[in-house]
Amino acid sequence: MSGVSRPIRIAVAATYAGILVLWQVIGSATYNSPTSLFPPPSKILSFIWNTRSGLIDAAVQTLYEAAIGLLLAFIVGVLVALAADRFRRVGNILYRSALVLYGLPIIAIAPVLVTWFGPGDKSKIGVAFLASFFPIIVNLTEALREGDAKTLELARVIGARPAQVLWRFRLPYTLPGLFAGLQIAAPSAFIGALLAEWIGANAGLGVLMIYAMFAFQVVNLWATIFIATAIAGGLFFLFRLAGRLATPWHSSSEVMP
Amino acid sequence: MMPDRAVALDDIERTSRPAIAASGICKTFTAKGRSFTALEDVSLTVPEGRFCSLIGPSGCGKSTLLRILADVLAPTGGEVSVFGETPTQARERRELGFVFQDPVLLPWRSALANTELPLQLAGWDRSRRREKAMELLQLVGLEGFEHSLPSELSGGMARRVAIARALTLDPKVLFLDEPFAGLDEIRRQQMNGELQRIWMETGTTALLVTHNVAEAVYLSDEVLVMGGRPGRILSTTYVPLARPRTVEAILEPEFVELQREVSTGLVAAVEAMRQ
Repeated sequence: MSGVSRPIRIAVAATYAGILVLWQVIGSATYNSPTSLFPPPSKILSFIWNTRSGLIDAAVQTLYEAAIGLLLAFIVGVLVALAADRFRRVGNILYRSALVLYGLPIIAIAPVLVTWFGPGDKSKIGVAFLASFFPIIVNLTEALREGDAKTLELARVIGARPAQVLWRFRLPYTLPGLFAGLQIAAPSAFIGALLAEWIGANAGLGVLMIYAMFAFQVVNLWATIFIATAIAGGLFFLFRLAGRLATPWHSSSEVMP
Repeated sequence: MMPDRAVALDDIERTSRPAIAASGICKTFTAKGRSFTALEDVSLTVPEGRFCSLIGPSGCGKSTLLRILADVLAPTGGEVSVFGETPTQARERRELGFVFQDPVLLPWRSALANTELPLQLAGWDRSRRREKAMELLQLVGLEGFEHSLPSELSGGMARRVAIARALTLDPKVLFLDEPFAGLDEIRRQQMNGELQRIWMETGTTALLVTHNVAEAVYLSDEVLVMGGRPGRILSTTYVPLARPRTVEAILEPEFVELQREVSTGLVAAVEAMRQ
């Protein structure tokens, strides 16, 4: 948010505070009605605090699935992007096939993966992988393609070998794009894992959500939503911060979904 | 008397052995089925230890010629030799230094790390390359800015780093492609003075591409005027003036006369572009 001016930041904070206050007031007023759908935030927060150990276990489970999926997406994404760069023709076919797959809705492919891999971790990791793969490969491939012609001339003039050109000149230039991809990919992986848990799982935040929904435990449901939102947002800012620390020379990061 | 004279002549010949000899250079660019001939049958010789300039209107192929001599681009035809080797051999032996119009510094590396980059790629160990890079940053007048990132340097300072980087491997030939374009006139004169000093201290052969007549005359032993479509060398002006030349010297009659000669050549070059 460093590019955002202070009045705007204050306005954003004030908007959220206003929503919370309004929610608290309306929620408290309607809480005793049997069909209340908006329990006040105070109730939700105290519920979170009282059941924290179970919530933490569930969140850790979902985060674990998301992390493995993200890691695999990172490895495969980097390898495919480098292959696409090195072997243009084969690489372009791979890259385009990957982009066609992007059209597949995660919500539609998740039941297929759960059917294939069962209700264990594997199906969640698979969905997290699919959800996070595209932002990584698209951003990295575009960053490699952009490649600065002048920098490549410099590399040639000072006699850099091909491996040195890639490692010393081109890859550092892709870091802002790569981190921009990761800051989208990490929350996507988490939400992908959560979504796969809805379809069928033994543990995780998604399971708690589904139980709460079918049992009409509205406070439980909102508690999981709070936690999931906080984690997805936290992942976004975590990778944004990591990107800033890794590329202090880069003024802003372009974000591509 | 005769033997002495013969020795003297021999000396002159030896000191003026060609650093760069190019003959019949052609370059045709082809893109999307259309071709454009940038250079046709260009020949030139740059004697060892000299400072030569290529000057000409935009689009006359002078940067293309410089890139061919430095093996950044391959010619479509013709022969180039750099100290008797092909430019590729010379480049691979890291005997060529090149300063671009933009400094092209890697933004994640400090001034020092940018300067030592060629040494790092050549496999020098850390302490040796650091020592050499520090020496060169001092030569270009940047002591105290070793650890600044390119974004923290002014345009003139970034150009000094680019010159230091081009000099790290003690190049036999230094190619300069409008290294001071975009600097204001005062800064440009300062940088020209620095470049003359650096060139005199290192004793390298230099070939400069420029648009600026005063800069070309001030720095050079020979000014080659290019023009025409496709580009070729139209005239050569020798600048037999003593060094080091002061910045004020460009106002002296001899200088003004030589600038007039180059300018007249440039007018003819612009005329040749129209045809």
